Amino acid sequence: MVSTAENPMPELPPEVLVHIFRHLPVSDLGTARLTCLRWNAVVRDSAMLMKQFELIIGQRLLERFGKERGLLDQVLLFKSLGGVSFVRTTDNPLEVIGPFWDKFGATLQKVRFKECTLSAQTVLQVLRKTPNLKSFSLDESSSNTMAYHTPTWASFRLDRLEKLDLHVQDDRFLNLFGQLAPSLRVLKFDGKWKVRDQLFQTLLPLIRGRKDSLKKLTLRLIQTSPELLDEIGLIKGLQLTAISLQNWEIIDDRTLARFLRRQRNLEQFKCNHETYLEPSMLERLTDTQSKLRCVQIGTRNADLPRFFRNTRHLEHLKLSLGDSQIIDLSYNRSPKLKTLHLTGYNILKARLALFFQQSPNVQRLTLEYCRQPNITELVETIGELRSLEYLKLSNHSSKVGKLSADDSTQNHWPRLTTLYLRSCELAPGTIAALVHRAPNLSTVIVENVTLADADVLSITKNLPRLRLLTLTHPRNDLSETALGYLKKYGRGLKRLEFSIASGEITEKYRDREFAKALPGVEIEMVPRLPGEDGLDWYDDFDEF
Amino acid sequence: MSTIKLETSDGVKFTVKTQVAKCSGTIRTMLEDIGINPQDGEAIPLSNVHSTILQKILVWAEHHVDDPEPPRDDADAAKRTDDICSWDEDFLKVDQRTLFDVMLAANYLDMKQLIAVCCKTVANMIKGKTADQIRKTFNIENDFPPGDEDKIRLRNQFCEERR
Repeated sequence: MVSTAENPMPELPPEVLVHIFRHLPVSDLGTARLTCLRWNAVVRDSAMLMKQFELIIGQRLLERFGKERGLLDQVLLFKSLGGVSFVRTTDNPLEVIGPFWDKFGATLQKVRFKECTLSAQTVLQVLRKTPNLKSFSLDESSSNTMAYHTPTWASFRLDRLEKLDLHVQDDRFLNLFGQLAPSLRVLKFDGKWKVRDQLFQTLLPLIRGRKDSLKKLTLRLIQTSPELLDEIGLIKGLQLTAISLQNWEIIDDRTLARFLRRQRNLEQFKCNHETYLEPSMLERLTDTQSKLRCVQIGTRNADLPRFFRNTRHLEHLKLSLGDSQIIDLSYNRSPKLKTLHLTGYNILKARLALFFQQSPNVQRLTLEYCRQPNITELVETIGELRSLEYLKLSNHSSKVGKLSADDSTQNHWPRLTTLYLRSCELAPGTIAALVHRAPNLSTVIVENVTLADADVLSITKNLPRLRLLTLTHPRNDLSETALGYLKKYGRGLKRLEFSIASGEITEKYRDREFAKALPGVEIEMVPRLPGEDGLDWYDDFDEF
Repeated sequence: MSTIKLETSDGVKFTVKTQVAKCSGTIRTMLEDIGINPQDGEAIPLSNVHSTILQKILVWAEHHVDDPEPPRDDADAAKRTDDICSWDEDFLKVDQRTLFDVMLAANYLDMKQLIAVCCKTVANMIKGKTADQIRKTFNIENDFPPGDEDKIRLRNQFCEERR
């Protein structure tokens, strides 16, 4: 119905427009901005939407700017960027985009350098023109030129900078930002490979100077002394809400206990498995902290009943457990739990069921390196988690039992959109039974799992909302029948990835064949190299 | 089963099951926090909602009254627009004016699930269209100064270069 003057289209308030725009991919969101000034302004005013409008400047684009003068003039109108990232650039960007930066640097809130080969002086020149910067990230993980030119002082300040992420070789950068950034809220320092033994002179003063504003601290350090943590805990006035200690090899019991006694407002506490904690620390953690929402920890022989005594605010839990002993998680008291990630566990089925009785609203579940229960029992145990949205099962070897797939299990997981199976041995019919429980899946990833033709059929045919499908295996190819199913039922996909035997002729032939059968589907065939072995473990570590 | 009365902007009174009315966060707050007592027989005034729209919204609420609590905002889940259930799809097969009115009323009544399906429906109407087609669909006037549009288009192109 076309609106008329007497009956005009109601004007949607900005919050409703933002809600609509959230559902658009960046290409459509860009078009929406073109329709009228108001829509453009609504997008511009939403930090969440603007995240998608980040200018990514790589070497190629930088060179294009240099050659095509007019191009930069047009970008100059870019009054509303979400941020600028420099990715793998080697030239000094200011030589090319200097005028742009002079004019619009002041509007930028987010700048990132990733794997760029630049001198620290260049970085400083870029930052000098961005007085309103809120977030800065410098990741020189693959370049090493900067370390030799790190200046030690700066003549300007970034008063609004609240988020700093440094992944550098030279800890003198910390001194530099000590002068640049007076009011940091979030600091992430990744001195992964070569930080010198002077963090007491660089890191501590930086934190001390920001004790009132600093709330979230992530330190990824190798071979550092636990006393550093002691010193941080001792800083008067510092009240962190989040701490993440990565790769700290060992932190002794007393040091951490002291730290936890002084920092009692923690909502997030994370250690990766490289940071070994004494078993008693797990319970001490929840004894001292009453606001914990997010815990990630690796432990063996922990006193879990005491840990769970005080976890009623817990929303995210990642536990890496020793897999030899039987672990009892049934003391769980975390009604708000949304994310659970267990690695290396050995749990009796009935006890695991008790765990989920206390946390019925889990949305994201990752279970890997499990000894028991087997997958059949596991799926039966989590069958009633109606809120489940993401399920990842990895490295389970338990070819036992058949999963039921009848009316009583149909659509058990109506909200499950992502299923990720990796390196599992499955009994026949398991995949069909999973699909039966989760008919609304839109993403299915199956890696290093031997698939029968019937599995491929049930995934492609019985999931009307499937958009992204990955089926890769380091040794086994899909059969002709299975490939036939992909071609026949894959038209609704947006992206399809599968492995094929290596060899130019096969690849070309398959390419043509699939392009013809599935127009509009982005297809990636992963050539399987002869002799390539099983996929190994990687850590999908969640950031703050 | 307890009921309450609602009065729309055009003075029409509806008697509604309390449970159904509580699909609206606004009404829930009125009943629970502010302590309006529906037993008094007094109708709760909904001054921003017309009776034709409220009638429609009550049909939706009646159908969804037993739905589980919606999950909290999740950026990934929010991107999806293909998960509208078929009942809702049919329910929202209405003219655009009504769709917008339902959306505005749902916003006023704080009915998150209903807003979500409405927004997804509108997003689907935007997807894949050119700016001109969007303007035509929603009857929007192009008020960009000449030339600006091209420049913004170019910017978008840069933002898509990320992959």
